[in-house]
Amino acid sequence: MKSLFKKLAIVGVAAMFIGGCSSEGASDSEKGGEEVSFPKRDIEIIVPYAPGGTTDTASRALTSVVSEYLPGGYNVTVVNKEGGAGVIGTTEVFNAKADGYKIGMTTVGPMTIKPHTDNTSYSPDTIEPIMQVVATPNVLVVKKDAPWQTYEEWFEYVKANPGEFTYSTTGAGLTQHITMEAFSAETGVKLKHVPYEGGAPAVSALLGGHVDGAVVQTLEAYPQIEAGELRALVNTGSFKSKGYEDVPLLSEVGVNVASDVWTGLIAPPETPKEVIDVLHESFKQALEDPKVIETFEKLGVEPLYAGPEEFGEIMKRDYDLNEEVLKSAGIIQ
Amino acid sequence: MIEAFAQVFELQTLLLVFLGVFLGVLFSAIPGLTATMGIALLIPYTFSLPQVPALGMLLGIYIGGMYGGAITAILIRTPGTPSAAATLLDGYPMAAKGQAGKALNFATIASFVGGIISCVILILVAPQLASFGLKFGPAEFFALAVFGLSIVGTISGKHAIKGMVIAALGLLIATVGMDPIGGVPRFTFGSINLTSGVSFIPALIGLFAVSQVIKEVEEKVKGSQQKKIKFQRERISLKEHFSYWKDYLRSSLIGTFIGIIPGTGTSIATFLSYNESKRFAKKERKKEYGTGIPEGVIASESSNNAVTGGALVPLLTLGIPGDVVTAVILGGLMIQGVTPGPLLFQNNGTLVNSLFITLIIANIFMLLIGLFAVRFVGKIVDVPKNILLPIVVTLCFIGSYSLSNNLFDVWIALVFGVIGFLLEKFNYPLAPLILGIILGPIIESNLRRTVIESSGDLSVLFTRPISGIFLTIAIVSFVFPLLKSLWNRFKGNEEEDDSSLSA
Amino acid sequence: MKGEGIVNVVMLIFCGFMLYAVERLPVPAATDELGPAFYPRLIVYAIIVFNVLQLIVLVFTKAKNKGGNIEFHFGRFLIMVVIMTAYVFSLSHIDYKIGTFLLILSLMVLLGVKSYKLLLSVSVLAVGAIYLFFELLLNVHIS
Repeated sequence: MKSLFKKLAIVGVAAMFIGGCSSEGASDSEKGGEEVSFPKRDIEIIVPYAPGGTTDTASRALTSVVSEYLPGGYNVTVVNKEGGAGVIGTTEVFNAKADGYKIGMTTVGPMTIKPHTDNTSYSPDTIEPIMQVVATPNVLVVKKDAPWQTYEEWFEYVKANPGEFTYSTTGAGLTQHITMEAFSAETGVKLKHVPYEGGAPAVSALLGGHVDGAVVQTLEAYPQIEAGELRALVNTGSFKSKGYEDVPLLSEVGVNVASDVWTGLIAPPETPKEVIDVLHESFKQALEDPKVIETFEKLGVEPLYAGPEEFGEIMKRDYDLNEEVLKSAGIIQ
Repeated sequence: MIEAFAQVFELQTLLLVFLGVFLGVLFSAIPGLTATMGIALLIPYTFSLPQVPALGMLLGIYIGGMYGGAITAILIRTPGTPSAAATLLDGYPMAAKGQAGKALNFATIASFVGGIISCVILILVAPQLASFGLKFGPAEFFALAVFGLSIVGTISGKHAIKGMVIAALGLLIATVGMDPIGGVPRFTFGSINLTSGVSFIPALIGLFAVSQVIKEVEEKVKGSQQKKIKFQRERISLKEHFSYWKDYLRSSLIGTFIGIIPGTGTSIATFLSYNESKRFAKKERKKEYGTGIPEGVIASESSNNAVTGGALVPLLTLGIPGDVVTAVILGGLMIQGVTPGPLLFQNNGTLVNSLFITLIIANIFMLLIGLFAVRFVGKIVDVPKNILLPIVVTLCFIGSYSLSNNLFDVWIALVFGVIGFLLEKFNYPLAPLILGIILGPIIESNLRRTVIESSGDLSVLFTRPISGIFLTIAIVSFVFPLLKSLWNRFKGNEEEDDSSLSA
Repeated sequence: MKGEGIVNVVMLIFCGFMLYAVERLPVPAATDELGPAFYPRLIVYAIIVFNVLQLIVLVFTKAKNKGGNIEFHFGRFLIMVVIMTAYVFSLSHIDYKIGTFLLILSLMVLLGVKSYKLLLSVSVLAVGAIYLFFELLLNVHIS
């Protein structure tokens, strides 16, 4: 109802709850040979969405194993602070003390789109990136009985019929919408966007024939594609995820647009480098932990690691890109 | 099939299902905690469990969660979850009349019946029904929501125009936040907290519970004398239950139907069911709705549990969750390696059968827990008001906070409490406000989507059969009683039927 | 009850304010889109219409004045609101256990509980139960 269908709500909460493993936590920890000044107590990670979304999932999966990799064996607790499409939680991380005990997860929306549209207090320049955790590309799907079998056929149609093709997405001003606006700007085709409140409603609108196509994350459309109900025409991301190997990337068909929905760890600005390094190391190892990989796979999510510098660049790149797209789509001045 | 039975009837599974139902009832009874939260918190534990017990527990929470809210709705006029919002319309008046036990009893049985009927429908005709649910596009959702709004006359008791003002106010409150189509922040006055709108559950808690507490304080409720409602253990004969069979059936069907349509919530089902129950009642009975009659409780509780079976239809057959709770369940399913969708019945046939059986068992557990709990829980009414009220109000505040760990929500509860109190002081009905807040987003977003999709052609709303029907009925049920009572008002007629106005 | 007209007037003023806020909303970019302002404006108009209707009915009513006057113990109401506001406010400054304890205590006093034993025991027990349930079990920290 009021709460948005989280765009990734299909993917549920994974892995061990803090409560489950906190009993083994600090008490079993072995202090390593060297004296590390960080961490000295449990850490809090703010997830800016309600429990049950991908961001929340990825966080819980990681935090369940990360205590094995943190010096001192301390735990990381997930705290959900949803609201404002991720802005409230992200702002809280931005305002937290820069001592590394309060960090956060963030995604494309709150980090690279919202700063333009909502006057947030933070931006990718002022936040301290730790690492990227997960990335998912978006795909354009149509129903199995649609007249277009390949991207090329579809492209011809939309070029010849501006303003006819309707497509649903998970929400206005989110990555899928922005990507398609960028696509329109690049190719000059006119499409009609019908925003819904989440991936599931967007897909069901397509299934019910209320729209001609849908642009959603790969994992949201996957069950239907597997069953043959939907067909993926093109991948708007930067890589091909599992199960979508034969769907062309936009960049492969001559359109210079590629953006994924990524999720990553951030810390408040001015957090000392040693702290970031410790966090980075531990979470990186957690990301490579077989349990985590297995969980992610079950959820259809692909871990995609990127270190602090790289992640920072990804954020800034999308931030600048989105600014242009938002301007040309008339969403901001 | 035999295998399915074997999977379900082992100790671990049964225990976990029972635990799930119990937790579901508990969580949904406490205002501020919801079944969704319970499921989300418990999913991590299910990871280490085998499929059937894990899913059984989640389903148990879901089913129990639809019932628990009724307990607090009836006893302290606080719906523990939004799905019990309509239960307080007649549930609380029954408790006020000393019939709390009876009301709880009806709530339990109604929940059970609703759950079972929707399970049966789910088991028998799931795939066919799913495609029906998909036919609901923006036009239909809009029409359905407007139809839901038209029942405002029913729930306003005697004050129809005031009810409409309140409903409109609810619609307006729902516009606060980012608009659903453009993402443009509206009426946020610079507050980040308001960008996601007025949090619904804290508003609900504040409006009904906190305002009630203020009211009782203001009316000088002292100690244990004055209006102490004795809790009576009342047994209701099976025969009496059967006499209401039409209400049970109708409400269960409405609930299942609404559940099948992805994107509608339980609250809509309960209000619609309440309305239809009143519409089909005998004339003299109609006036009694809202004063505390079993039909009201039955209507609300059967429909909200019937939604469980219905909502599982699109979830299992299409992989599309119908509401937030099923969305979290979907996650739980995927963790277990089960991908709901068109292939589910082929790939995991036995599992699906086990799930069906589990559902029925969960409903039975809920019935047992409910009947058993009624004895203890009803005693709460015996606690002297001057101790009970402070605790209730505290729970309201803490509960509001625990939803999103946000203090702002507590302020919302407080503010709505004061608003609710003042409104009631001036004889304004509160229920339409909830209706407005729930339906507002649905009405607006779908109206705008219809416009986008049809390129501005609004006649679509009437040319498409489903939406046309709903809209026509809505308009008629809306306009007709209003005109009638206005006419009578001007003529100075005092005695009028259910929707008369009052100064 | 003619006094009720006050509510209508208050609402009308409120609507005026809302209309002002609505007009500040952006106009839609696309052509066949209703835009964010359409719907709220519609609602506000509806509220205005209803309130005016109500006022008219109030003025022209032929029915006798039904029901007594509204009893309003303003004093107690105010105290209650002050206590609750103070509580919510305190949550951001002092530990919630203390705040909650005080809240329960003061409300019980307001409601007339005299026995010290009862006052203290209930407050302590309640806070304890809340702490156990919410903080330990549910990991809800009220910071």
